[in-house]
Amino acid sequence: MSDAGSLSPSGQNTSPARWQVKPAFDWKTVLMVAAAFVLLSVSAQRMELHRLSSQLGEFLQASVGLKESSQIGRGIGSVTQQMYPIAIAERTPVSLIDDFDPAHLPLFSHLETEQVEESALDPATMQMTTKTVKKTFLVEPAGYLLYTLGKMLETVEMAIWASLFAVLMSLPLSWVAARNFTPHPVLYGLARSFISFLRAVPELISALFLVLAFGFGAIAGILALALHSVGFLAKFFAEEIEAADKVPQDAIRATGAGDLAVLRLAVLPQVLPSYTALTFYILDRNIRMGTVIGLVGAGGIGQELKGRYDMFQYDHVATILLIIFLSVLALDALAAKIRRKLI
Amino acid sequence: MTGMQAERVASGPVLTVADARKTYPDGPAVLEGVSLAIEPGSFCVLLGASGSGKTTLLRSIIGLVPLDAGAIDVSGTRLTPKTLRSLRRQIGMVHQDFGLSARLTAAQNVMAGTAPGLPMWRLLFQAYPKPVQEKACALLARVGLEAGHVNRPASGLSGGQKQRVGIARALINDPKLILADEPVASLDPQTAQDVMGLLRQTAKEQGAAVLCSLHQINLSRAFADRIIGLREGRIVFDGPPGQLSQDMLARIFGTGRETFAPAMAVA
Repeated sequence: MSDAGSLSPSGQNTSPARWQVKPAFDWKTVLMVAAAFVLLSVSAQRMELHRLSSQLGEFLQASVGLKESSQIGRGIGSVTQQMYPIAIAERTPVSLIDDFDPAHLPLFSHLETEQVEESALDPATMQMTTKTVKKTFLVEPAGYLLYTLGKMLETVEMAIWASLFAVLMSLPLSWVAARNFTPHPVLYGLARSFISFLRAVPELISALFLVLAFGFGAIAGILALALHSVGFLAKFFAEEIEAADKVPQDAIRATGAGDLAVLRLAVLPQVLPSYTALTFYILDRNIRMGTVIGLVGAGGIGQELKGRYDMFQYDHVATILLIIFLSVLALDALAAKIRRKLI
Repeated sequence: MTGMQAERVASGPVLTVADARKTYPDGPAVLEGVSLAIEPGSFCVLLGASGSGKTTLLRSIIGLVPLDAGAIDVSGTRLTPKTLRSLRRQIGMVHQDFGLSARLTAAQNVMAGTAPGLPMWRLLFQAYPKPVQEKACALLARVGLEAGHVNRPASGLSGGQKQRVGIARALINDPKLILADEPVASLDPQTAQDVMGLLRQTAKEQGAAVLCSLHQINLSRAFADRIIGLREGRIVFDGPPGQLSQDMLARIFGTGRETFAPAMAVA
């Protein structure tokens, strides 16, 4: 170690003419690409991807007029036709409203009267008779839109509560699940497995069971979203702690402080920006997933979507989809703004 | 501490290291039997090339690196896992890369030095007692910062200002021993001079002994009462700056190509 020669004890100190640059790709790369190709071919067979290509081909031919119709075209066409115009107004038969008072209509609403032919069995003659009845509807011009917006707000509220619970659970859990701060290796292992378990259970599945336990509604949805979010947040929070710069930590530890003080004074200030970013990502994700878990009855706009879809009311479905889409866009912009302010 | 103990401590060395040995796993031996004693109030410089073991020695004194063998006594108390945290509170440390939390303010960084004596809720809300706040401000003034710096995040300070904050933090518990690990390594030469002067002056006012690692010969000569030359984990020189001859420098740093080879190999 005392002279330069000892730095290359294994005779690597050859003349530069014999040095070789390692190629970026070699035969191993080629083999791996070939293997991947074979595996994908087998999988394509299993997935019946040949049908995808024939159906798409049919659809393209139909769309340029080479063919009369295609399966995809028919499927999409029938749905989109029924989606337009989207449902904005709410029409309720007055007979279905309890304590209806025509003198006090809700704001901006009016009454519509229609002649409706109704068939009924005449009990006297035992024959079907058709008579014309007058039916009155209460029409609220933006009724359904407002109702759906309310449902969307419910989903957003669910997502906010779920994210809040997730952060509160993840903060202590990430401390235990960070290798360099865990109070005990056994606790570390337990925390890590618990977090992985939460991440492994999709919220749609846990929502199914939580609906059984807590009944239909927002509580089951909030819990399902929160549990899955903890699986993500706690893992990433813990990894941020593990990756934090050690120099400030050593400095605090050198004052005689314990682990918690080091976490608060040297780690938290470092990881706070990424914690904020992660929390916003989870909130964004919970809003999108919140629309989905409503499908199994866990509250919010998804529950409404599922109901309308099952009743083939595609105009209402279109309104719901549009509102989900616009809300996610708006919240994305809002989140970006807040993030810029905080970081 | 009773008066009698204080007297005994005042007469004895503030720090003794006996036969410190350390080998990192899969690495060369970093400390191969280092023994030294630091007298109260003296300014000692650990001089050596990169990889000579300066940082490991300083970090082992404050218990950040466990020694393989050897003993460390601070003011007559043996460093053990039991006494570790109470001894750390009697030592101030200045770090090479400042060791500040970039998002905490200058004052918060200084006050963080009092963390071990405070309840957790005070740390959580960064609500330090009034006397601590006043002391932090006084110390920031003493190290040459101004009112405008007090509540500025550490990330907004210059390198020299950061290390001034680091020195203020090291002083907040009124230590009798200050360890400084390459405190001016990342500063320009003029700022390095100023910060070294400040460290020496404040330590002398405080009556604290300083053990400061450096690799700059001129700074060591200018500020040290005593220079301890370290090379490859062994003390090869120990004396006042006046005795640091060219021969002695060659013993510490080696000569010619040797000056660089060990440093690169170990670092």
